[in-house]
This record gives sequence, structure tokens and C-alpha cells, in this order.
Amino acid sequence: MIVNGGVLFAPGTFSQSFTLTRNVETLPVQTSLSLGVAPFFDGGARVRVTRTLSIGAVGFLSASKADGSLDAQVPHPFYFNQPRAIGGTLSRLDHSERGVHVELAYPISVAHGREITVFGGPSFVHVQQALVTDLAYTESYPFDTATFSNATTGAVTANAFGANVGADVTWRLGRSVRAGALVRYTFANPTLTAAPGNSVSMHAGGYQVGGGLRMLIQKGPPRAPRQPRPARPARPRR
Amino acid sequence: MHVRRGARLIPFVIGLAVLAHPPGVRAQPRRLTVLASDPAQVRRIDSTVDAQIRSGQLEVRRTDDDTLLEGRQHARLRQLHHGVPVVGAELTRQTDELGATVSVFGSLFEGIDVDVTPALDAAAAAAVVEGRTGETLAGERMPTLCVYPGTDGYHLAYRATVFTADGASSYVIDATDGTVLHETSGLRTQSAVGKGTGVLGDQKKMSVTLDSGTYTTRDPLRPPLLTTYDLRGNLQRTLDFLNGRTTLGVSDRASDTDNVWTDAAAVDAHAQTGFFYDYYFKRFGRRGLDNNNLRLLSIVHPVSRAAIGTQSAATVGTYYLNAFYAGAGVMVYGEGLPPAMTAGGQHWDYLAGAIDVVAHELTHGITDYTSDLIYENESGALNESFSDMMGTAVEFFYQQPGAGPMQADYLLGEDVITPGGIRSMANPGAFGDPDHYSKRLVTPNDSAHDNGGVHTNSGIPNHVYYLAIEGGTNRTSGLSVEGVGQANREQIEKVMYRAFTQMMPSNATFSVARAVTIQAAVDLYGASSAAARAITQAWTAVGVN
Repeated sequence: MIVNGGVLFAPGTFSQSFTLTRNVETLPVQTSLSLGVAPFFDGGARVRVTRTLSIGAVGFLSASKADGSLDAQVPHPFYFNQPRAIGGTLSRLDHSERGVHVELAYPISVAHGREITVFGGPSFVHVQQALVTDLAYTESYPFDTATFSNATTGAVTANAFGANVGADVTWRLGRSVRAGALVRYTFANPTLTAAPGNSVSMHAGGYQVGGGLRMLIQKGPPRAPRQPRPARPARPRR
Repeated sequence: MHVRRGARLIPFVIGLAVLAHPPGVRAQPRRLTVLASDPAQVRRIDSTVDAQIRSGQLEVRRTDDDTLLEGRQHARLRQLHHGVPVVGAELTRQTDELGATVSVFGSLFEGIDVDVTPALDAAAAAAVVEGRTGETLAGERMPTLCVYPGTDGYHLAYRATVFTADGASSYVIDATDGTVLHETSGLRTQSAVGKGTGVLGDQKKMSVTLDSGTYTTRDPLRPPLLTTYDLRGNLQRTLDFLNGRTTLGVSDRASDTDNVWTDAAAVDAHAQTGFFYDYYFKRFGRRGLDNNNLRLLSIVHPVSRAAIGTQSAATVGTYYLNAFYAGAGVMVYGEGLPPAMTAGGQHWDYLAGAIDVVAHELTHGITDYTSDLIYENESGALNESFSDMMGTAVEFFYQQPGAGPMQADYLLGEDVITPGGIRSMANPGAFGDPDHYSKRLVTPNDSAHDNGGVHTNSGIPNHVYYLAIEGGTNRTSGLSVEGVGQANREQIEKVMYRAFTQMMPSNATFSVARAVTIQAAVDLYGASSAAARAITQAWTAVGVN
């Protein structure tokens, strides 16, 4: 059994590009969002299928916030083709990922109670992301400028299959307990659709760095009970 | 200071000159014209003006901040005779940020000798108007008392404007015996000859209000109450409203259920009234007609095209082939002609369809609240010309220069009165209008003669405006003008705006207008500026010195 916790470094930025309708014209909106470093937790189990290969499944969960910027061209209320440029920041848009990694694991080095295992396999990722669905701005006569106020967001979900690869270093703490340090890279490309014409293709996953415990559960006959040592004969006294 | 009263100079003592004349014989009105911009002249006149204000012979009608020169103010002073305003007597005084007087322009009357106790009351004067027109007056349209300088002397009189099916007329009625002393057309019109073909087909945005599931033409976004009413061809209701006998409500507004408007006249009247407001705000910092966001009320379909066959020629001339400013922020846009009909060899479409027409008429409202140029003779021609200037300025503000539909040029009304429009600022002679003072039309100042040829003689200052921007040679004098150029047209617009709204007296002549516009250019851009040079050269080229 495997239990890990750590941090997830998300893969770069993703952007939204969509349009709204204001003042009987199209209002184009562009956002650029970056996911921050997020905590993650996972847990699962591997089963040895050959002398050296194991197969396992690990469920994972991470949650973070996305920050970024928004730019839009707001149509003028009185005149065609005279948009006003507005821009602002977006902060703390909720992002979460859940899913399952299926992994084939192979130990490549064992020495001095330390074991290094590489693993990889397919991943299933369920992403929930808050996306911009509308925006508000302030303006006043003669409406030649406008100022971004805030964005309305909505939680959007999507599923995607991807893959993961990684390595795990463990140290024996006891007969069936080990401490482990993990590096895993997961990639998947879910497409989030907030509304028709408002879709985002993003990279889920990223680099996970963390550690946890490995508990070994061994199959086979029970060991014989420990025999008491025979008493050592007394030395003759000189 | 130039004091023009024949060849004689008199001390500037307003209203103190009491000349002996036999009982029963009216004193002949004597006009005193003031053109003071030289510091020494200004100092001399200023103390006199102050004294007259204190004694109640002059009254500050309004004071406006100069929106183009910070710290400057412009006061309009009207002459009173024992508390009764004297028609056509006004001074404009410009002061700087320290309160010192910079210039004084205008003219006043002296030797007024009338008793200000009327023998007739306002109702009796209204009855005289009703007897001549069949229309009753009510509310703010009731006649008001004035001193009228007639050709035979001063009269205590009532003034009133009335709207009829044939048009509108202004009356001056003797307050002693009810005699009609003067009658002029009360309409500030865009002219009455031409024709239009169909809808221009351009897309405009409509700022409207949603009322109980229906969109109506009330603009909630611009500062003034901007509303467009569709009177559905009901001329009687139009007259009832114009004469103060009824009010218009939500159900009179143009309306649409899906906010996709198809009534071209309502669309253009509503949208282009907004464009007009925006232009004045953006260019000059002005807030509407009275600079205090007076309502802007547009009326479309005052008559029906289908009923044109049953209308009198005068009704067709007023409510079909015309647009007019009716006072108090009210605009009436003519219906034009059915596509198959022409007038004067031209097609006439809905008058609201031409942005220069809309801006022209609404600028009459600006004039009403500023210089209030008297609508007859040279001051009337200046009134018309300022509307043409601003109509053209608004056109250039929103359209690209060119010669086609919805392109900016120096023709008036050319988008809806085709072919050609009704006036040309570049070549007034093309429409039979004078381009030089020597060719001015001298005609009686009554309604039968266009109030002294106001739509004809406007060609002279119109040409000044054109030459000051574009430059060129006057066809009559052969004198050339170095204009400021298209790229600097804003300078001439500001000069004209400042001169006509803040410095021009109501009784201005072309000569006064020359002095005032040059002063405005000097104030704004300096005595050696291109704008001052262009304005000066242009007036000289048209023969006004």
C-alpha cells in the first residue's frame, strides 16, 4: 500500500478565448491563467506480478488556485466599431484534479535497505476549473473608456485520459514499513467547455514531488515460532 | 470701441438720452453698436455697463464659463426699460480669470420713451394670435411683454410664437391696441426645396428603454432626457403639443418589440440627436442646448406620407419638406416625399436621415440659449450660418470626407435631398446664394421674404467658414485665403463655436461677426495664429470689413 503527500507543479499556463455580446456587437475576451503549486495526496496499492514487476493503481487528489489576467474589447454603446479596451487581473480561481494512475513498477536498484523503483502507465484525470463566463465593467458618459470591475466565473469539469511516469525511492523503516520519496510526471489534456464557443484545452497534471509510506503485505506460509536458545554450558573454573 | 451711429460719436451713456419730441410722436429708435476689444476702450465702457446693471437698465441674462479657455466667462446683458426687455438689445461681456473685462460686443437702444403699463393683457394678445391663426396658446407659449423698436418708434408689445398646419409664425402685438406690429416665420428651418430617395440603409445603434416588454425611444445613457416621439402622421396632435395644449407620453414614443428597429425616421432622429449631443460634449465640453442638459425631444412622422395629396402647399413645405427647431428642446423632422414624388426636381427622404440637417436644426437650439441671434436680416443669416457651420462640423466629425452618401462635404442636406442638397458652403453661388457681401440679398424682413433672406445671405458667412478651413479664392472678389487645412478644422470649429455661443450679441451684423470671430481666434490661438489669419482673410475675401 502506498500513501503519499506532496506538491504538484502544474504545467505552465492556459488561456481562454471567447466572445460575449454587448451593445449589439461582439465582445471578445481573452484570459491567461497560471496554476500555482498545489498540494496533492494519493494512495493506492501495487501487486507483484513477476519477480521484478508490479502493477498498481493510485488514486490522487490535488487542489489549487489559478491566477492570471483578462483582456477584452467592450463595444461602445452608441457607435459601431469603436471598442474600448479593458483589462484586469484574475486571482484564486479554483482548480482541482482527481483521478487514478495505473502503473507498472520496476525496481532498478536495491542496496543497503534502499530501493529505487520506476513506474509508468495510463492515467485518468477529472478536472474541475473555475472559468470566466462573464465580466463586469464600469463606464460613464461619454463611454469612450471603460474599466474592468470583475469577472463572473463558473465551475467547469472535464475528464481526460493521459499517462504518468515517475520514480520512487524507499528506505526500510521496519520489516514491512518503508519511507518513500516520489517524483511523478502526469500529463493529460482535458477540454473544458464553459459554454458553446467558450472552451479551454488545458494541460492537467504536472510534476508531483512528495513522499510517504509504503506498507508491505507479504503472502506465503507463516514463519515458525522462534526457538529459545539452548543454555550455554558453564565454563569450568580454573 | 466703434460706436456706429451715423458719423457722430456720442458718449456711451445707455438710456440716459431723453430727446424732446412732440406728444404723440414716437421717438425714432436709435441703435448704439459696441465693438470693444482694445483694453483702453474696454476700460472705458466697463464702468458704464456696471453702472447700468446697478440701475436696472441692463440685466445679466446668463453667465457661462468658457469651455475652451479656462477661467474666462461670458455674460449676456439684456437691456431693460423699466423692467421690460427691449427686443434686439444685448451686450456680451467677456471676463478673464481675474474678473477683468476682455471684450464687449453688442448694441443697445437709446431714447426709449414708452410707458410699460399695457392696456391689453397677455390673454388679449393671445386672442389676437388666435384670430389670425386659429390656434390657441397656452402655458409657456403665452405672449410675453417687451419693448419693440419698430420702424415708426418704440412700442410696448407682446411677443408670441404659434405653430399652425402651415408652419410657425412669430408675432409682435402692440400692447396698447392689439395691432400686429411684426410677423415673421417662427421656424428655424433647414430650407424647403428638394427631394429624397429611400432609406440610406446604414446601421446605427439605438440607446433605448425597455418598458413593460416593449423598447421605446428614450435614451437612458446620455445625460439629458433624450426622447423620440412618433406622432404617426397625426398633425393635429403635433400642433396640440407644439402649442402647449397637450403633453406626450410613453405611448407616443417610437417603439419596437424586438429592439431591431425598422422605422428609419425614428432611428435616425433618435441616434443622430445623440450624435449631436456627443459632438458638442467632446469638442467643446458643452452639455446640450442650454449647457445644462436640457431635454432633447424629437418628433418624427408629424404628418403621413400617404396623406400628402390632401395637404396644403404650406403644410407640405413645413411638415414634409422641412425640419425645424420648435424651441424648448423640441425638434420636428419632416416626412419627406413618397419615393415617386419630387419637389424642385429633387427627391426628399425623411429629413432626420441627414446628420447635417439634424445638427443644423439642433444648433438653432444652441443659438436660442446663447447668442439668440435675431431671426431676421443679417443676424438671422448669421443664425442660419452658424447652424450650417455646426451641421457640417458634425458631419465631418462622424463621416469620412468624400462626395458620396454618408460622406462629409460642404453641401447641406445632400444625403436626403438628392441630388445635390440645398446649399453649398464651398460654392454658395451654385444654389443662387451670395458668396460676397456685394451680392447680398436686400429684401423686407417678413415671412414672405424669408425674414430678410436669412437662408440666402447665410451663404456669405458660410463661405467664410469654408475658406477659413479649406482655403481658396473667393469667386467674386478674387481674393485668396490661406486656410488652416483639413487637419486643423477643429480650430475653426472652436473659433466659431466660441464666437457664436459666447461672444456674439443677438443683434450682430456681419461686421460684428467679423470682429467677434477674429477676437475668438485671437483669444484661443493668438493674434499671429493660422486660425486668426484664416478668419481675417476669409471675411475680407467675402467683402465684410
